[in-house]
Amino acid sequence: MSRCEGATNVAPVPSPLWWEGVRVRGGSVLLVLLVMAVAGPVDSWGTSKSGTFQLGRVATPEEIQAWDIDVAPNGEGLPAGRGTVKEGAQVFARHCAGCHGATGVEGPNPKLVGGQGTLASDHPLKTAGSYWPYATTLFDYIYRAMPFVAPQSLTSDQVYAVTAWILFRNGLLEKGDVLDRDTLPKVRMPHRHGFVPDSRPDVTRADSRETSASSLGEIDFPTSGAPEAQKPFLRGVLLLHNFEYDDAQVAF
Amino acid sequence: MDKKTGKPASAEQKPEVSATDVMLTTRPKEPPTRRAFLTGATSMLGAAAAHVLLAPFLGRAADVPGDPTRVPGGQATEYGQRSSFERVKRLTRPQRSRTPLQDLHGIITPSALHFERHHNGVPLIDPARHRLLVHGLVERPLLFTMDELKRFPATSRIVFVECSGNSGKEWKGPKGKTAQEIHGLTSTSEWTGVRLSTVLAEAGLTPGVTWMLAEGSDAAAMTRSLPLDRVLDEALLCYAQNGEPLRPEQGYPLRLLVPGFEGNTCIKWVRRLKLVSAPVMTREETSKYTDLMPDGTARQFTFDMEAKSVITAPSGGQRLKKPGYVEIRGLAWSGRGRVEKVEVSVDGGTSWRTAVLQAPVLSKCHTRFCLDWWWGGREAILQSRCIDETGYRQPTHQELVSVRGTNSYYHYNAIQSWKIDEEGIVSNVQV
Repeated sequence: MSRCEGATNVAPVPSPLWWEGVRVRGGSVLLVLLVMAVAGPVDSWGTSKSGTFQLGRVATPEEIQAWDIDVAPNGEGLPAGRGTVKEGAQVFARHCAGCHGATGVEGPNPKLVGGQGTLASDHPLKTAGSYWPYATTLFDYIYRAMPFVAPQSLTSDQVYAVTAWILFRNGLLEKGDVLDRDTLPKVRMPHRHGFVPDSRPDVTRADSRETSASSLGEIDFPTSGAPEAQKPFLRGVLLLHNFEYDDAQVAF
Repeated sequence: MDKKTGKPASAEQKPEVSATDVMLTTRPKEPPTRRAFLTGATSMLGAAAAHVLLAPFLGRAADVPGDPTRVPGGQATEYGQRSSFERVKRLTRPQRSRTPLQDLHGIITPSALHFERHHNGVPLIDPARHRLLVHGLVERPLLFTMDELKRFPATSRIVFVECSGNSGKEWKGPKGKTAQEIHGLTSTSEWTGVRLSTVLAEAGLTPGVTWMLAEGSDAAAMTRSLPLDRVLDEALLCYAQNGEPLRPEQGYPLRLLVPGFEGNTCIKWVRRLKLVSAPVMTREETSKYTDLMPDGTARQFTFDMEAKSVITAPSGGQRLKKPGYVEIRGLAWSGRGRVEKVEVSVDGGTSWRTAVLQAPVLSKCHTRFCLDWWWGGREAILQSRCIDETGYRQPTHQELVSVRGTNSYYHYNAIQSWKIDEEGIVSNVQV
């Protein structure tokens, strides 16, 4: 349980002990001890009995279910329902083709089909078929965010169906295939093993601190001139020492 | 500015009392008589009355008095507006807007000019009805109101947020024209909220929990999976920005903020945190915010925004009017900590000088740098490079491209070069 704190842009510190809090907040530990000695322990500040702040209330299973729509690669979270490639063609034509084109490649919005074998080329085409590592992600995204103008308006059956149709168009399902919570996670995606962890810093190494500095050097000493003249004056002296006579004249 | 009157130029401006006359008139030794005042300054009185009546529209160019010391000014207002002379604005597209870095000062981005990026619009959310659900691998799934979240101990931090797509077009050459166009998807605010760790402790983490899915209540139901060991120390659930409630485009009423991480992980309008044992592999962390390498593999979960800097003055689209003193100004930042040093070159990277860092220099925050320069009127190429507290040095374009190719789009942090020609015109180049 963290407490009220004064830290700003510094690394987090462990929660203070109670007596540190007393010292910071206002006064000396001595004063507190004195008060306690005279009046006995005073518990006006109170403490948490559970170790928490006792804020918020327990969410009901119904409340959780209403929002818990994410689908994991192992299929966890997939709803009941089913859809075929054939049904998906109809759903796509009605709800998706307006933005993605009649066959999913005409646009204007992103192409959904093709691109396999292009990822290492100069013109990679990243689609569900060529790039997405999990079929479950396709379902999850359509279910939560599509169609763009009416998100979350499709039924589970419709989402299974249109997912099936997109995978079929990418050559990843047969025409007669059916998708449901059992079959969807089993679809093998071509780029499944194409992702690698972040290996940065990968370009420059942590050795650059010694490589460069001001080529002029640095000097500082007081002068009796006007304060606003100090900065250009010092710069002029530096430039003189570096044999930059023209620039030094400008500085002075 | 109109040089003669010392006032901003305006086509519509027809002052009833000549500004030049008023400005040059010395204060009268005797107060003017009532008659003299009425006859001599009727128009000024009229202007003053208009000011009072038009208080909400104060400062229209047509209302500008010749001498503001001789006309009562505007009245107090409930929510302040900038001067009507100021026109700096974001550069907008439907789903994003860019901060005018070249027109701003210091390190704080005004909330109204903070860049925005959203995936299906800015939702309209009633804070009284907004809830945060914390569930999954927790001891107690909890539902919080905004009032409850604000009762937790509050923490404020000044940090930058940068979209990982910032400067992304520069992979394939010098595409953008201005600092705003190229680098405007980064901004800095003071963010206030409750520590994520405090809220998660309230629900109680169970053994085996390693990742957290954060979900927004926008029309994209934007989701990202985040590794707990990397976000627990610093992440905040924020309800305030620069002292007031979040702007709608910044996640009102509640957003996640992960200092130093790519902007899209700082889920806005956040409604749900689900504690899990593996990443959910959402669309954003598979098909979108991943970095395609030349060999066809893609880097995933590239959270850190690496050290970067940009000279904001002089910068693309500006012009140096004549040779002489120029204060080179810019911003530097690193998602891995403090800016340790910024170096500036005026000869395309042949020689470098250490810039002055202006206080405060804060971890994972825009840092203002400056350096004196006397432009001699010859062609010059200005560059800046940031070195952060880990010792990492901002790379050149060639260094970056030689490792990552040109198809990764995200996380472009190469040195920016601005060419100044003999006319003083500043343009974007890659050298």
